[in-house]
This record gives sequence, structure tokens and C-alpha cells, in this order.
Amino acid sequence: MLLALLLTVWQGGSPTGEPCDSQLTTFREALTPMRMGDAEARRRTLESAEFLAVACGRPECLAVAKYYAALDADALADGLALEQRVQTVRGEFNAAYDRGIDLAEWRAALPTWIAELDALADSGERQPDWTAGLRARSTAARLRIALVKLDLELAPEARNALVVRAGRDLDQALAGFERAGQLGSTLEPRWLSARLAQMAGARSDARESFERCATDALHLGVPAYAIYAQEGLLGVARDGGDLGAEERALAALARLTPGEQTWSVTREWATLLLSADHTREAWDYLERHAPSEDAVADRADWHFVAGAAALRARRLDAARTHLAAATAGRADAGAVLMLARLELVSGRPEAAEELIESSLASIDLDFSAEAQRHALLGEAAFVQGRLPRARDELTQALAVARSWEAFIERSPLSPADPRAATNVIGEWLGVHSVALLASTHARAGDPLEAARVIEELQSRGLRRSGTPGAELRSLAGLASAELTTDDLRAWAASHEAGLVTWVLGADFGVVVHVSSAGRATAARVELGRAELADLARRFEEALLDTDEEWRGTLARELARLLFPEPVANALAAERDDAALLCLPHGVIEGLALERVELASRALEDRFVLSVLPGLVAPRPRAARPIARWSFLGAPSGSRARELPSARAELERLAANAAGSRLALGDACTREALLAALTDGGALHIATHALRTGLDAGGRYAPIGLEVAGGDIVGADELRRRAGALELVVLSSCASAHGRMLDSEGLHGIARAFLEAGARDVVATLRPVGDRAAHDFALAFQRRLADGDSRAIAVRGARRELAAGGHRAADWTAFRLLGQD
Amino acid sequence: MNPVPKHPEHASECVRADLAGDLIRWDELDFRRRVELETHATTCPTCGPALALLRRADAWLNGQGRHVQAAHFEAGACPDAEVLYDYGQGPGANPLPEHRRKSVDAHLLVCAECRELVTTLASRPPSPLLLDAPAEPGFDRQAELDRPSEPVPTPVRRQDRRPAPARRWLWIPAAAAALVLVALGLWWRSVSANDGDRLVAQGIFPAEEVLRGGDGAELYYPRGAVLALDGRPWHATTFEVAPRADAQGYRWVLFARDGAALGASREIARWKTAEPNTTFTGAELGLGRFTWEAWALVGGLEVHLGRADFHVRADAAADGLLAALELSGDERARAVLVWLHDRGYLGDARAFARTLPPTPERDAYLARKPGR
Repeated sequence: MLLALLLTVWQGGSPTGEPCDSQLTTFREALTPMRMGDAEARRRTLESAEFLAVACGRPECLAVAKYYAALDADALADGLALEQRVQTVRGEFNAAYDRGIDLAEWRAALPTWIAELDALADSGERQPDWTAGLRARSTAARLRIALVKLDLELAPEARNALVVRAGRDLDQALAGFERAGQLGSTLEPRWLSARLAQMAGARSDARESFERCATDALHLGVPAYAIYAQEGLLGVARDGGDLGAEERALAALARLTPGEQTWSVTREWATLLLSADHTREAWDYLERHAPSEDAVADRADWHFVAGAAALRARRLDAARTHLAAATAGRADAGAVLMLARLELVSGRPEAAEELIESSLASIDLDFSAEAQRHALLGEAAFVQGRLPRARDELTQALAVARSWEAFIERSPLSPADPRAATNVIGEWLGVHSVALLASTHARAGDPLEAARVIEELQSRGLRRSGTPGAELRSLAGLASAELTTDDLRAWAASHEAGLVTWVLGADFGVVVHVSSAGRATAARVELGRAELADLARRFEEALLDTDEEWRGTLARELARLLFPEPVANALAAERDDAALLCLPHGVIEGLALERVELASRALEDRFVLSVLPGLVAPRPRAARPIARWSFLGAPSGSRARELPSARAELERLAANAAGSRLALGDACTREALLAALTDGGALHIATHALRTGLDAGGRYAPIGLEVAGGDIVGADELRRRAGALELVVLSSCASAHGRMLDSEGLHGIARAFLEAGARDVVATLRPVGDRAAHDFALAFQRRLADGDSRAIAVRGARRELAAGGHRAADWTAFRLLGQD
Repeated sequence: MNPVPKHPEHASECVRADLAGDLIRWDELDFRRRVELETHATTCPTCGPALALLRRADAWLNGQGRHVQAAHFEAGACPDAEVLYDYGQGPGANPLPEHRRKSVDAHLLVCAECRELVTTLASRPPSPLLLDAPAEPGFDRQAELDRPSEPVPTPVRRQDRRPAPARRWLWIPAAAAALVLVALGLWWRSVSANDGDRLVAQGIFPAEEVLRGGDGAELYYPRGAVLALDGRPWHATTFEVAPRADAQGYRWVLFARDGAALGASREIARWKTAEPNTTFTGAELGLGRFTWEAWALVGGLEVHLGRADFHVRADAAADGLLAALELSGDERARAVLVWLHDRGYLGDARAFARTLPPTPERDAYLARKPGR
């Protein structure tokens, strides 16, 4: 019986001690006979349920017992019969799954089963035991979701209809089971509901449902669903690029499988360590948790991951051994591609090409493998100096990735926010391919194209339409992420010293300067992502410290790496104090570029800098006069320490800006902030930037701006609610920082405003002192009032802070993110 | 690699009898020996309190001289030690007339040293003279306390070593009272939470910086500069990370850097602890740049907490610190902490703060986490 299966829930759940265990056993054994009309079993069921409810904290047992006790014998029999038919269909589905039927068979079988389940559900609704029909609904939803996942060729309308119907059935099943008090029966529909939300990109809903499912499963003692739910949470975290949530989900998974860790957990954890460049730890961890020789499939997979770890660690012999074992006796595209990479790393590009051509010809490749195949062939051609072939293959790799991205975004399952879609280039193909393609163009004598590739393939989310709704998105959205060389020229021409852009792959990077006349100069950055991240961390720490000599050493070293000679020479030809737009990507975005020393001068002393995490539109937008200022902040009832200087800052600024709006203390409410977000003018907010209570699992870091009463308006909400403001001053801590998504950049408060259309945002690279923020704000606004441009005003205010004795940690924190 | 227990100061006895023997002439020691003693006292449960007490006695002596020099104090000159003793209602004290009591009240509002002294005198010394000896069986503590105190050898400064012209004629009249104070003080065997109460809490610790948000890093200390004296860290280096509620333990890795911006690093130690802090005393930690990283063990998985650098360095301006260490009481604590903070030795400041008697303010200071 299905219910009997689900009633395994009552084994080893939250009741503790012998009496509870004993009563659970009685309850479980008596329930089915009770439903079959056994009066004695009915008595025992009710007695044990009462005991469990009162003494063991299991009220759901009593709810179940009462539900069935209220039914007469015929109703019970009808319910059991219907339940048996549902179970039969499930059995057929499971058998087909285990047997491994092909797509054509699925296409034929699934609609038949779904129709049968729909009929059972409809008839069950009219029965006194209506929960049996709910089981049919839940199962039908499961099969509809399976059909959507299996059949990628379904017409969008058909997919949409299946998804909508599955969602409706799950809602109905959940509501019904809850009404009947059958907590154990809610596990499957709740988990499916979460899966559906995850597929639709509604990560917050998905996470909530998965968490509820995990909690209920643990309460009921059903580790299988707790594990499913944690795996779901892991997926949600991964979709959102949330490393912390990934770690938590994996830790929870590990706890659910104590003693010997499951291979799935080991695999995920090792992958996570590898993606964070903890190669040694990944290797050690894999060594400690190798699956047994008996688990053949797991063992092969382990060889594959261990091979990848060894390859990353440049332990080439070990990598070769593991990858050979992973491919032994089977055609695994992933392992073949990894072996090809091994050949490349070993300096044998011809062997890599031959392996790919010979071993992958007969394998159906998915989007990911197809993109990787082209990327590896491109890299092999690149290292052999065959630049046209390299360009073609790498372009093709990125085209496949973009097709994949578009497929996901145009799917009816894709999220309402197109930027929330899977970051294919960053997370699946890798920025390394972008760096290779840019380098290919540069070596082929086309550095402007290199710059275009760098910009087009990174921070794409900045240029996508924010209009919610699938139809509008497909009409107006995706094309805006593309860029032409004319776009690049237009951006460069808007700044006297042009622009500089970077791409940083795992092993090397490329930097391109485009002068205002459109002349491009490119150079290779001889440092990989991990090394530069470490150097950037050290520089950041040096800015917090008092050792100026060391700071200078790091600043010069960074300049040498980030501005290699050809680019440094091109910049040297530019006029002093000319406007320069920097487009830092990857780990460079969080770096205090302003203090990097070029020819013994800090970059900000040589140029008037603007920084953007990517081109926000195909063409730059001219600055408009600010119609009206809104000054908000110093909220009352703060969760953190009071900000005495914030109030003074806002009062003085408002007093000097005629017609401005001021919201302080109690008046600095969520409503006041939301109103200021859409008035099209300029916003200056002086408050704490704090963690939101709940990480919605989206792209943005779980941080926001604090308003009155300790309420926090999160970055995600700011992005959704803000209009295209002319200027935003974020006089808060680390407002330019956020969650780093590969190829997309830092996602925090400033990014939210930029994506919402703000032209210029003054933000901070790190936490800033209350007094320093006050002094900066007053100096900045005074300079604006005196007629300085926004970039010049930021630079001037930084200098004033430095001259005023503020610590470098404070004055180097402020940055203009914008087009000025 | 040589990690030591988290709270070495909780060890039960002094392991450096040679240094303990120097306590009585602590202010006459040469620089190197003095630093050695100071460093030892930061972790020794016996010598630390004893040294603190000796400093307080010395400070009082200095303070008396200074006060007598001043024609007028803001709220009047410091009262005589006897008056303060009576005011504090110590053993055998005489009741003060009401007008005299009010004038002392007014003075104490502005004079931290007298406040401190009064607090000291008002509390009964809880244990006998010998710093290390346990009470004898049958020792009648109350009777002993009620017995008039006898003078004991006093660690008076050698006048030829540190001439203080203004004090030459002042120290003599103050000495009698000082001796009484020191005698009483030396009865004070254990310095514990009560001692903290006797310190004037306000204003010793640098104010916490008000930041506009920020969670700060997960790696707390060491960071930035770490002060070296004689080529070794002044204090045993304590590594601290943000505790994780679900962690079963922590793993620590220490690397030596070659000093260049992009220089190589070499792992020099790797160890595990149950707690989110650990003290490292290995000889590997000399002058130079280091990187450390920490991992938390959560559910059987190691979660990376982060990496940070620190720089063990000598400081040409260390005389400023030594001068601050010459001071006593709150003034000493304040001066040392200010010096360390100003020069970025935040981990050293915390190590120094740990040697101070526990007070709510000290504990709040030690509970601070770096905001950035």
C-alpha cells in the first residue's frame, strides 16, 4: 500500500524512548487492517495514536487515525482500491525508469499514465475518502514534470500547459493532505512543488518548500525525503551562486548520511572545493572518501572527479591514471573532454585534437559537452598558432553557450527575471574560453574585437531587459546583451582617455585599452584568477593597515600585472586628468583600482576615473541635471549602532538642496525609500548596509539598506522597485560589494541600482566609518554644487578625506560606479 | 608547529621561577629582562597579578609626588593617604567628619588614582603575604586580617637609575603611606574579578569605531602588523576566527611568505583545535610576512573560512611602548593600548588587554570583532 509505504514515516521519527517506538509500531501495523474494516485494529490504532499525540509529540498520528475512523467500511474499501490503482501506475513508471526505456517509449507511455491518474483523481474527489484521489493528483503531477524534463522538443505551449497543470494539482494535493492532517503524505507533493518552483527560477519559493520538506521529513523520520530536500536546497544554492548555502546544504546532507558519506555528497563537496580553487583540500577529501570497488558506477565517477582534481593540481600522472579508469569500458563525454584537457596541459595539443575527433564522434553531446568540445579544439588550435581555427572554434563554443542560455531563458520554466537565468558562460563554459577568444583576436591583430568579446560575454545581466513577463522578454530582451565594435567606440569616445577592460581566466587574462579615437591596444595578463584574487586580498588588507611601504609595493606590482607594457604605454600617451572608464571584471571588480600605481602615480592621480562592472547599455547615456534630491537615513530603531554622523550629514545636505525631500529617524521608512526609488531624481541614503534575515537564494548577496525599525530593504527588492535614477549615493558599508558570480560580477546594492537603470552610483568597496562617510558626503555634494562632474567630485572628496587625516581604509573606499 | 592550549593563563603555577624572583626588583631590570618578565607575566597566573600589584604601588608613589607638585588640583589637592584610608573604611579606619567626607567625595569625582586607591583600601585583603604559599592549616584569616599590618620589603625605585628631581623631596613624606599601601597590596594574593572592579573602567580601551554596517571578515586575528621585540612576537600569537555554531572543530594552516608581493609561500604549520581560537608559540614565527587560513569542520565537511596575512615586524618607535609600560594602573593600560592601536598592532592590543584584570569594559573590548 502506498500509504503503508509512507507510513514508514513513523519509524524512528521524533518520538523518543521505548514506549513511543512501541506505540509507533502498533500504530503502523494496525492502520491498514483498520482501513480494511478490522474493529480491533481500529481500537488499537486510535489508542496508539492518542498516546503518540499526547506523550510523543506526534499529533499527526491522531489526525490520520481520526480521519479514517470517521469513514464507514465501504468508504474505506473504495479508498484502498483507488489507492491500489494509483500504486499500480507508479509501479509501471518505476519499472520503465529502471528498465531504461527510450524517449519514444516515454512519449507514448507518460500521457497514458497521466490520463489514467487524472481520471482516478477526478473520481477520488467524489469519494468520502478523498485523500486517495489526492495521491493520484500528486502522482500525475510527478509524471507531468518528468515529461517536461524528458522531452526537450515539446512545443512551448505544451510545456507551459504541463507545468501549469502540475502546479495546480500539487497545490490541491497539498491543501487536501494538510486538511486531512496527513503530514507524511505531504512530503512528495511538497518536494515536487519545490522542484517546480526551482525549475521556474522562483528560488525563494523553492527554498521555502524544500526547507519545509526537510523539516517534516526529519520530524517524521523519513531520511530519504530529507536527503531529497537537501539536494534540492543544494541545487537552489548553486543556481543562485550562493556558496554559503551550498556549504550548508552539503553539510546537512553529510549529517543525514553519517558514518560513510554517500558518493553524491562527496562528489558535490569535492566539486565545490575545486571551484573555489582549494585543489589540495579537494584532492585530500576525495582520497579519504573513495567509494568501494563494488560501487562500479560511483567508482568510475570518483575517478573522473579525482582526475579533474589532479589535473587542476598539475599532478598529471595521477590525472592520467584516474581519467583512464573513468573512461575504461564506457564512452563518457565528460571524461574524454577531461583527458583532452590533460593532453593540452601536457603540451600535446595534437593529441587533444585527435582524442576529441576520434572519441566523441559517436557520442551524443549535450549543450555543455558540445560547447566544451569546441572550446578545447579552439584552445588546441590557439596554442599551435592556428588563429583562424582557434577563433572559429571558440566563437562556436560561445555560440553554443549562448544558444543554451537562450533556450533556458525562453523556456516557460525560466524565471520572470531574465537575469536570474542560469549563468551558462560563467558557470558551465568558463571565463577561460572568453579569455582565449579575446587573446586570439588580439594576436590576430584585432584588439578592438577582443575588447568587444570581453564586454559582450561578461556582465551580460547588466544589459538584459528587466521587464518581467515571458512575452515582453522574448520580444525586447535578449538582443540588448549583444554589443558591436561601434558600441565600444561610442563608449570609448565618451571618455577622453577612453576605456580599459579586462577578462581574467583560470591561467591568464587579457586587458584592452580603447582610446577615445577608437584605437585599441591589447596585452596579456600573466596571472590566473586565483593568484590575482590572492594579491587583491593582500592589497585590500594593506589598505586597512598602516604599512604604507608595503601598500606601495603591492600597488606597483598590481599595476605591472594589470597594465602590461603596451597598455601602460598607451595610457601614458593620454593627457593628465583625462577621464578614463575602467571596466573591471572578475576579481578585479572589488579591487581598489584607484590606488594601483602606474608609473609611480596612483591611477586616480593620473586620471579622473569612472568604474563600471560592465557596459550597462549599448551606448552611453548623457548626464542630466538633477531635478530633485531625496535624502534618507539615520533610521530610528536600528539593529546596529546608532549613526550620529549620518543624521548631521543628511540634515546639512538637505538644507543646502532646495526642494529636496528629507526622511530621517522614524520617517526613514520602507515606504519613504521605495517612493524615493521611483521619482527619477537623485537619492542619497546614509544608513547601515546589513544582512537581510533570509537569503532568498537569488543572485544578490543577502544584504540591504536599513530603514526605521530595523527593517531592511534587500538588494533584490531595490532592483525590482527602483526606477532609472540619475544619481545614487550609497553612504553605507561595502555597498559596491556583493555576491560574485563568474563572468557576471559582484551582485549587491550598487549592482541592483545599476541594473535598475541608475546612471551613476557612488558606493563603497568596504565598510566605512560613520564620520568618514559624513565628511565624504559633504565634500562630494559641495563639489557637485560647485560644478564638478560626478567623477571629479568623488576624486576630490577622497582627497579631502585623506588630507583630513582619515585612514586609507576609509578614503580609498569610495568609488564612482557610473558613466560620468 | 607548536600550538598551545587556548587559555594558558589558566595554568596553575609559575613555570619561570627565575623570572618570579625578579618581581621584587621589576623596575630595576635591564630592558631585555624587563621585556621577558612583562611577556611572561601576560600568561602567568602568579606573576601577572603580582606584577600588576607592584605597578600600582609604584604608580601611587609617582602620583603622590605629582599631586604634591601641583599647587591646586581641579577639585583640590589629593587628600592624605590616611584620609583616603579612613574614607575607604578599611580595617581599623576612623570615621571622617561629614564636611571632610564631602570634600573627598568631590575630589574623587575627578581623580581616578585616588578613586582607585579608595576602592583598594575599602576592600579587605583576602589572603596572606606570600604570593605563592597556600594558607596554612588552621590559619585564622579574619584574625590575621584584623592584626595590624607590618611593613614588608617594598619595591621602591632606585633613585640613581631614574632620577626624578621633582620627586626627590616628595617621595619621603609619601613613602610611609606608600609602604602601608604596598603592604596591604601585597596581602592581595589573587587578582581576579574583584581586582577588575577596583580598576577605573572608563576610558581605558579605545572606542569602537562606528561603521555603517558590514559583517566583517570571518578571520579576526592576527591581521596587519604584529609587534616583534628581539625578533620574536611580543605576545604569543593568538589566532581567532568567527565561531560557527555548527562547527565540530577548526583547522589552521600557517604559511611563511618570502616578502615579495607575488612571492612564494611555504607551509610551516598545520593544526586542529576544538575552539575558534588558538595560540601559536612555534619558533617558526619570527620576523617576516605570514599568511594563515582557517577551516571549520561542519558535518564532517571542511568549510573554508578565509585567508589573511600578517606581518611580524620590529618597530623603531617601540620606545613609545616601553615608556607606556613604565606607567601604571589605568594610565599604563590606556597608554599601551593607544600606542598599539595607533600603530596598527591590534592583535597585540588584544593580547595586552587579556593581561588586564577582567572588567565588563575589558570583556566588551575583547568581544569586539573587526568590522572590516
